[in-house]
Amino acid sequence: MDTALIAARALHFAAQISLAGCFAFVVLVARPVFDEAGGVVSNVLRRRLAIIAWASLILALLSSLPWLFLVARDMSGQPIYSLLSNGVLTTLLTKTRFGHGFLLRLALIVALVPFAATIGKHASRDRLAAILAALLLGATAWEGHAGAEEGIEGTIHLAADATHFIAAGFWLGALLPLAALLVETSQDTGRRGALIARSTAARFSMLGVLCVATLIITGAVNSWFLVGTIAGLVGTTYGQLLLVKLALFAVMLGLAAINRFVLLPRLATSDHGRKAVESRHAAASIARHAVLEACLGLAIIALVAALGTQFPAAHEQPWWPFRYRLGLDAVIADATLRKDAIGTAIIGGLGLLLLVYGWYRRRVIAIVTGMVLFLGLGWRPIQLLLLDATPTSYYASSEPYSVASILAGRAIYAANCIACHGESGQGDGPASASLAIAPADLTAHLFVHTEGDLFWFIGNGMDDGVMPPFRDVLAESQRWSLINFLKAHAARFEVDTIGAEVTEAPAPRAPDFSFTDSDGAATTLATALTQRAVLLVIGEAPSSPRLAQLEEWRSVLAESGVVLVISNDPDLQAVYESFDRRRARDGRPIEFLIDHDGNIRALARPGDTPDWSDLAVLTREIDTMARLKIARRSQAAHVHTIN
Amino acid sequence: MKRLVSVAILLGSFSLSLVPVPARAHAHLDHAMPAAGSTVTQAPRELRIWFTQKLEPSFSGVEVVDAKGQRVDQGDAKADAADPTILSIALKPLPPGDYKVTWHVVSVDTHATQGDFTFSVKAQGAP
Repeated sequence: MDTALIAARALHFAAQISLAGCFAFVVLVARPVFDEAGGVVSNVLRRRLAIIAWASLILALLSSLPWLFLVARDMSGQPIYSLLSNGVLTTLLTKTRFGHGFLLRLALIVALVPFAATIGKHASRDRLAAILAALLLGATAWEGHAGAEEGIEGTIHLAADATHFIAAGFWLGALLPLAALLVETSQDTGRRGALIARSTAARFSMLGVLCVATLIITGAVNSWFLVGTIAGLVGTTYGQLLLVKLALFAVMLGLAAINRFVLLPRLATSDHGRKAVESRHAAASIARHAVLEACLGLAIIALVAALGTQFPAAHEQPWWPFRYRLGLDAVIADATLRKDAIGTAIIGGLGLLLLVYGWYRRRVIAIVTGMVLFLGLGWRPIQLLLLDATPTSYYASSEPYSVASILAGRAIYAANCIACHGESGQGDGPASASLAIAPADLTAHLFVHTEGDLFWFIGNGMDDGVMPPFRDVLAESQRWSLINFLKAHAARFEVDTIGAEVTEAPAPRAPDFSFTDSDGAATTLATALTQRAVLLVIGEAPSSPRLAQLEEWRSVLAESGVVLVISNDPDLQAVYESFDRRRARDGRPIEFLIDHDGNIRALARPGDTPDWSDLAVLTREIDTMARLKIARRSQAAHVHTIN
Repeated sequence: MKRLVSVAILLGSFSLSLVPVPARAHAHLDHAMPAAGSTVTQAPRELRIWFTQKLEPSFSGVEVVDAKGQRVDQGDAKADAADPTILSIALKPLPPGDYKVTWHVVSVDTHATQGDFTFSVKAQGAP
């Protein structure tokens, strides 16, 4: 962590928030309160607000310089002392988005200087200043993680982030001004002081509720974009910092709730006796709590400054701290379990309904029957969804599911795994007989485990060392390649045999590969699939009549949404041929239909039926494929590793 | 009670973990043409790299060297005008061999990332 950068950011954010809070407090709380009380904003308050505003402005200006220099250093990789002479600052300020945002914020800060001097004097000037300060906060979101995304999602994230900043400023920043005003009123023993205290607290409470609601909603949106999953929240540095932030926020909310529900009602309008003393004490307590909240807010700002320099959780491998995880994997993989889960869920649910019905209608039989059904079966679906987890359950593969990776994995399997797990992968290798616990069958229910689980098993071994750990034998990328091979290998057993006819049956995913397209440009299957489905032809001799025929059909195929991919790559053939499980891998020509979502839907060798050498037959199969309702391809793909 | 809390956490995580979210923030290599680790038979005239975020072209660059460490790019790395997540550089005519690509980019959120990968050019018809 870069402490200097975090400190500069934290001071700059705090200054902006305090500045915006001062003006928001004057416009939304102080002025209406004093108007109501029939007067102008008191001189004491104006002086105090002016001091806070001036201090914030100076701090904002001072902290912006180290921020600028540290960012210039990080972006250019040049040492700080060289930045003044080498033109990096000029390029940064004129050519980059950070630079443009920086100049805009600087202009807004300077523009706010004259308003700080007259804070509390003119309603219209204060309103204008509050708007400028809100713009300043909103502009700060522009430089963060949120500003760097594309499209409509990027816009939503940016809007949420900017709103989050503004709401934080209007609430957090207004806490010190609130304390200043309440301290002033608690020293006033007259009726007017009590009136002002009560009205101030009530108005601030409204402002607080609005801001807190906004913070929660926009914060949830931001976390969704930057953290994404609970695994990311509990298992990454970014997520854990965010949890600390949420905990501090919860304490602030607790204090705010005490102010609102305990102290606010004690603010009496009576100006004599015990009530008046109690009321002044309550005002002083609210002021103390506000200062405490402001301190917690400062800690939150420091965390925010640190979070902005971190890689967001969506980029880090999450370390899962629980023994179990909830997942549909087992239920989806096994039809019997699926029926079990759905059946017990329905009966257990009916039991619960019966129980509730019996409770309200006082029917003992209904209560007893409902309780028996609910308690007897209700736990079952939850048990089926509760899966064993490993710390790396939610790790994502760093190796794309590609031909190259699968072949690398196959070599690793042959060198390290085959002795026990066997050539077939079914746990029948030559060394398996001597083992106390039989090796796992790698062709069955492999998909019940996440890739991350397999990664853990390979790295750390299983069954108290009967399967040894390969942590020190295989690099991480090798373990992921091995998993890719196992996935490809198991896919052949998990799916029904694929033939020349397109069916809706579960289909294996097509491993990615690169090839040269008909224009001579290098491209990949994944890129081709973003446009249309693919007819992959492997192993045809360059002058074969079939190739000539297919070339002739190329435009017809394109019209029905299929791009023709021809390859003679032996690696490609080795991997793809294995999906034709029933027949020998003999290097004979073979063709595949791969749908838009990357599933292998059909394959054919010359002479198979239906006969793909008939264009009408082939286009019929393509049309069938286009009409299939296909589950969306998982986007969980791979986490980008940080080099 | 403790179990109840962890079940509650798990239930919460369940709903969220069902929906995969694409990785976001900080520019990372998404894919490249020629692809990382790939072997191509036709020498590419240009290298294009897709990143996961918009780039600051002034602070981003890429270099391609051959097996002897000689620069084989034209030194004109630039971000795509229409899509600032793409960095491209023109290449000299590449003879068959292995090439190493080293990139360093700064995304518009000011964060710098770097990395490298290789690709190979194989003569057409060669095994």
